[in-house]
Amino acid sequence: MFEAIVSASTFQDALDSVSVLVDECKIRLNEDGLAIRAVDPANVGMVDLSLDAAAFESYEADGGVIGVNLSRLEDIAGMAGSGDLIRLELDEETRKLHIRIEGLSYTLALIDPDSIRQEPDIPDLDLPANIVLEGNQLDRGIKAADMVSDHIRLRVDEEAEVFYVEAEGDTDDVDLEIPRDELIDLTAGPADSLFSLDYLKDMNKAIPGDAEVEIELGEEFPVKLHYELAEGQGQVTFMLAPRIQSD
Amino acid sequence: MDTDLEHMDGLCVEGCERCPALVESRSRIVNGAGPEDADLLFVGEGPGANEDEQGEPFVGRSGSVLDSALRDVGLDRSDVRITNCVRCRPPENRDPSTEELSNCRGYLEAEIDRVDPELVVTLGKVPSEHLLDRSVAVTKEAGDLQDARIGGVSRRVLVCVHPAATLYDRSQEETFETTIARAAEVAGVGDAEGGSGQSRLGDY
Repeated sequence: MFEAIVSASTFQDALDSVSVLVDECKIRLNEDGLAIRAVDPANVGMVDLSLDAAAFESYEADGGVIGVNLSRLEDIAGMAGSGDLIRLELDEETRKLHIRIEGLSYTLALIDPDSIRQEPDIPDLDLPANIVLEGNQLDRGIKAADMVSDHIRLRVDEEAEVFYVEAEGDTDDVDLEIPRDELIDLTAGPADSLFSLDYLKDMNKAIPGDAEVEIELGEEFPVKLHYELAEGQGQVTFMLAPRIQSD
Repeated sequence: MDTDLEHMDGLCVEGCERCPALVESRSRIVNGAGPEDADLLFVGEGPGANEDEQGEPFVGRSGSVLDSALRDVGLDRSDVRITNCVRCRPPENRDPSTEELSNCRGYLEAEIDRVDPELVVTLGKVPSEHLLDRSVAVTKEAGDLQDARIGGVSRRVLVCVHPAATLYDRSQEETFETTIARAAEVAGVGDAEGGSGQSRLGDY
């Protein structure tokens, strides 16, 4: 069984983080909250979302898994104003999700979870550098990099304890330097990796500007980005595989 | 569904007469060609004159363009499977009608299901729109990898321009070749490694 009431903004923020990577996904309706893990079709980006029961106005579930058309669910959630509440109820018999928003009622046909693309094995990484900064600091670097290139380089200067966001274009270059005292926290370590801006831009779109973002970084290793939703009652982790420089 | 496939044996359709106009214009049914367990499955629109004559998809000039792009990434025609949205040549090479596409849909879905490829590549507008079930700006979306529901299962689909587009518009050549290289890379076949330099989460 599954029955929950959630604020529209919490639900929309949560769905946004997943929909930047996939159009459909499995939602695990655990007793202590809802969880989604999804990997984009190219196996380059992953999202891991958990929304604790405490993030809901009310929440009751017993561990089932449902498959949803995420684009559709996002459209429906988008019908709610930010102050509205969204009521969700699973009809086990018909395998449909009843969604009610202020007198509007929508019945969403679910997808067989087994028919959803299986995600690959996700690496368990222990990355040497850890950078904590504000969402809008990262956003600034990504925006600037996007003006000149398709790729973005994230690196840490261990000695100087500086985090760099860099991009090299055909003619122009961008370099954002954030020293330790302008970061929320920094554990310096050997870290220098290049990433596709297409992916990072999409992930960044889902990150609220005032969120605290924790970046785990290594040398030519996937990056992990963590941030919180719903006043800490929801957690999102993005993982993005790097581009490997041939020269 | 089973009764829909009464004319299908394995991956081949024989003696189907669902589309009167196509039965009239075809000289034979052109089935897919290539390994029955291929990792890479290309889907075209339908047979043209050469295909109808020789009984194999993509054998004319478009076929040569495709072969050459495959060769560039270390693949041979015999490494991949190629099929079409409709298996009979439409008169005067017109686009297949919605009804004809739908008549042939079950065969295509069954072929995709039985081959179970890593990746489906749609060559041109008609197959892209047919499998993604929406309007597609092929030139703009070429090289985009997405999930699509085909026969009730989620499949990875890569949109590609039609090989013939490169014959009319040289600027499409690079788009076509890059997309084929991406296809080989995503399906994990050929020697396209390092092409884009993009690694995958499964590599770590």
